[in-house]
Amino acid sequence: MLRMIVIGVLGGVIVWGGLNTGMEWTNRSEFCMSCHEMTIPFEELKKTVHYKNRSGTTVQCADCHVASSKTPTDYVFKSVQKIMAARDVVGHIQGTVDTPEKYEAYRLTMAKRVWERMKDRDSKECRNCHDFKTMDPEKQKDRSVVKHEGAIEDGKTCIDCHKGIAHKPVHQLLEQEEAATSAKKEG
Amino acid sequence: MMKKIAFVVTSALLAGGAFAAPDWSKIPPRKMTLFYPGQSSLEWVMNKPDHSAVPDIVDKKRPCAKCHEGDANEIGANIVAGKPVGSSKTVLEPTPPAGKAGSIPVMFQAAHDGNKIYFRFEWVPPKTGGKKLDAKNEVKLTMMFDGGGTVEGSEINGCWATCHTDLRTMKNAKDDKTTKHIKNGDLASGKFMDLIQYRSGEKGLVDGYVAEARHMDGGKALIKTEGKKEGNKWVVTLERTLAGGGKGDHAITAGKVYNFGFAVHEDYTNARFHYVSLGYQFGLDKPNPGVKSYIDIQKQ
Repeated sequence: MLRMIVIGVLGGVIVWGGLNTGMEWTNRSEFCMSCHEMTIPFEELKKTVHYKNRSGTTVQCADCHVASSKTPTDYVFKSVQKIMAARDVVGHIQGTVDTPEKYEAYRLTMAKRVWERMKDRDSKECRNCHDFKTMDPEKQKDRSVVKHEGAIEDGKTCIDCHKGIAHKPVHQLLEQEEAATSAKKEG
Repeated sequence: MMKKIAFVVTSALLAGGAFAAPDWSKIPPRKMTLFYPGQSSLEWVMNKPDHSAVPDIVDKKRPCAKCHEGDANEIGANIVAGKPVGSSKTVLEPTPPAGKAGSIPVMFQAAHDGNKIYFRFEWVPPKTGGKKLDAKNEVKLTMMFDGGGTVEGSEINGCWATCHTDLRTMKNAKDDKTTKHIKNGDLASGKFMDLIQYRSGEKGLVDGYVAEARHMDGGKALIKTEGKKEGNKWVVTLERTLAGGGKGDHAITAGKVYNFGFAVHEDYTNARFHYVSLGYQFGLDKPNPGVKSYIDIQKQ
């Protein structure tokens, strides 16, 4: 009886530990970039303040693109994301974005998916590090203070305004699309 | 007998005139950063891809000064260097003037005595030596104000209500003559900006208005201007009757909140090559209606 319990517990530790190790191992930026397509956005990230800055604080791919383990909800999300990431493997095999030209053509589609997910989660990945309450108005420009106050008032989420901060901006195409759609509707 | 009366009356008038000018040392100055605006027309300001704040301006009536009083110097520095500002991709100064400052801090003071209103502007001129576009006038200082909410948008944007992309020297200039104008500007309805100007060279004093176009005459309210260098500073004062009365003159009365802005053309410049203020407001002996860009002009 005791033996079964011990084996069960050990087995559980190995399985659970293995699962988590696997999740964390596939969260490493090196793993993401083992698909060469992902070196494109990583090189773009390196030029931004989220990667290199005065204080040395930095992010890896998973910090923004994969839910954290901070809360049980996050953990469930992360697990689902890991399973759904099988799509990325399929895309890699099919060569959907395997050249810079194909990547550019597909960029807006990929960006929209990320924006939608972030908006659904109320920019949780941003809010893991950034918080309205701990923003120091003395250290922000007037226009930022005013905008953030407005965002709180209007119930906006980070990704509503802060698109295009980590990779090559493409949100200006979104506005052009919206303008074209509304022009068609009126026309 | 008549000579005696005339003497007494004249002395009284002169004495009255001598007391009328305010004691500027008693009036706390307001620092305003005037910046180089390049070709930033109202149309540019209201174009969302160039200026992300457009929804806030339209829906929340957010005034320019609320966000930009603190960073006007940075905006000016970028524009004068030919760089785009914020997330815009548009270059607002296609021919950046070499060595020109992006902004000038100006100390603004104002007072009234029940009959006349006095405005005083003081600044340290930045490095000069550019091409002389208006060789007759080293300095011009121009102030524009509405009739207390009579020009749509000026409570948000001050003078930008008059600045359009099709004016001379602007990005979509249609000719070299079109001057500032207000869309549907009209004297009868009060939809105009009263324009008062000091010139260091010829004329000295201009009182006009901007309605469907800019008119540099017609007003009777501006009675005196003075400008001089005091040490390393330029000091300009404008003296105007409160009542107005001329063509394109707004009467300034208690109880109203007037939207205004002003610009300095220094170093012999003209047209858009001035330093401009954001939109501010003033009232006579009226407590602040809750807007940080409001100045209470008190009776001295």
